[in-house]
Amino acid sequence: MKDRTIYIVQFITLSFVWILAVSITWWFIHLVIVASELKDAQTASISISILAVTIFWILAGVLSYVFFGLHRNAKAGA
Amino acid sequence: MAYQNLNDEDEVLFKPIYETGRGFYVLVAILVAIFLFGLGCYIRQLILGLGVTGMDEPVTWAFYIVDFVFFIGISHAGTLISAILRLSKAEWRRPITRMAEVITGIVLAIGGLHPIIDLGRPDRILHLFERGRLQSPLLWDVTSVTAYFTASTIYLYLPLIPDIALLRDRGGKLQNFYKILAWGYQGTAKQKHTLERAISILMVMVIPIAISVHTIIAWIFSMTLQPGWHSTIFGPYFVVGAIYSGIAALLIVMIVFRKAYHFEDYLKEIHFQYLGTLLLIMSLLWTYFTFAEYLTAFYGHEPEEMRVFLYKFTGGYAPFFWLMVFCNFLLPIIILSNRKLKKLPGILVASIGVVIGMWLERLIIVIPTLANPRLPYPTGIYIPSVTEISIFAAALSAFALGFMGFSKLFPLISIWEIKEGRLQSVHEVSKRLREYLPGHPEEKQVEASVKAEI
Repeated sequence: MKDRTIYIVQFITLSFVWILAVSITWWFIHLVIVASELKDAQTASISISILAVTIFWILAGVLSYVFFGLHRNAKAGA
Repeated sequence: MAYQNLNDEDEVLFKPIYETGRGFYVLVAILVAIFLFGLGCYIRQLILGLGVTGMDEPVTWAFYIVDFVFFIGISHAGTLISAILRLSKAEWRRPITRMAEVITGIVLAIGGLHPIIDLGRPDRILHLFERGRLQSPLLWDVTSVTAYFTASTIYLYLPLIPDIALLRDRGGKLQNFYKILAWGYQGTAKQKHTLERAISILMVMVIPIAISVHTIIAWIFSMTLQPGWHSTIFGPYFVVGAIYSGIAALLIVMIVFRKAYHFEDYLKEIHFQYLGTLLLIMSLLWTYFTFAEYLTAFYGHEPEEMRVFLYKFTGGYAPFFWLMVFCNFLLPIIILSNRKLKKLPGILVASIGVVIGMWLERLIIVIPTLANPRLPYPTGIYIPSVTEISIFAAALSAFALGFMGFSKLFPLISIWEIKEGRLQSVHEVSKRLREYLPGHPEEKQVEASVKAEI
């Protein structure tokens, strides 16, 4: 398998964690809107969402930091 | 593919990836058969509905929820223990952490599926996405389990990268697979630094996430006003139980794979002694929490509470309750506090006892409360059906298959951490000792003493 193909496959696998983080954010925003429409403990919903969403974004960020860090710091031509 | 001996000093750790005996295939065949039988039972449940289980009014949560709490509890073996040992710079952690992290990843996936198995109409899980209520502990649970699964998978993967790179560089089977997963790792100083920094961030993050997972599971019960569940100490009580069962599961896995893959040189008696001591401490802590929980209920003597209390102590669930006390308290205390018994066979017996005891504890928490509702109904009866037992057996098989499958793709003991330990441990420990000891002992003198001890 060519290096370029490998990089693309690696990039696609990394993108899954971002898809997860974005999906969860989108889902939580939707649930906050529902809570707001129903006047159903909006403040609690917003607080819980902020806490949970942050965790997924940090996890995705750490994984991306490693991905780009390892590729940037690899030996040239290796 | 034939096993390539490259005369690495840790060659024995690569061997299981390249060599597979007949016994492995026989065991896999048996486990697959058990798994398929359980899967068949689940498909039958999907077609016929929850009527094929032993659940009925008022016991509407039973085996599946017990198994869910049990498996998620076991998951604390890994990431939490591994993160704590890494953070505390315990040098003896090196051959243990990988196995612990693998347990977490696999049991979380299995445990996380159980609430869906518990649904007669699993398609209704979609309502959660559409109309879920964020203030419900059930939704907190979905979120925290997903976060823990994501965090622990990343926490398993990152320390695995240098070993994947080693496998890639050896050549042989699945080269492209390892190339993809190695993320271009070549062991340069900057790459090591990047990886170490990310692992440090994760190990700090993972501890509160792991604690939150089991606390939230406890809250699913304790946020209700049910007798036997409505307790303020349920959160920490569940966390203690989870760590307890996690250490026991880790010890079982370590003993089995040490024997199967000849890891005797890596997983030494001392590792089991240390983990055995941790198990003993957790046993005492669990006993303390159990005592505090039941004493408070007994002292209050509320009629509804006492109905559940007596059902556990002297009623229908008394045999399970007292067996739990034996497995979780008496057995580990007798074995682990006795030097003669605290050897590998004894530790294995104590660990198996604890795993059984902790499963019983989950059973005793879930069912007696539902069988004795607050409303004036007669006491419910629950007998698990073949479907529920088969699905539990299938879940255990899936765990074993997952672990065995992992061992055929990746090293079960972190090779780079072992190599790093050989190079740096003596210096690190000596440096730390110099900081602890009074006065100003010479570095060389301390290092020589440590080496002499080794």
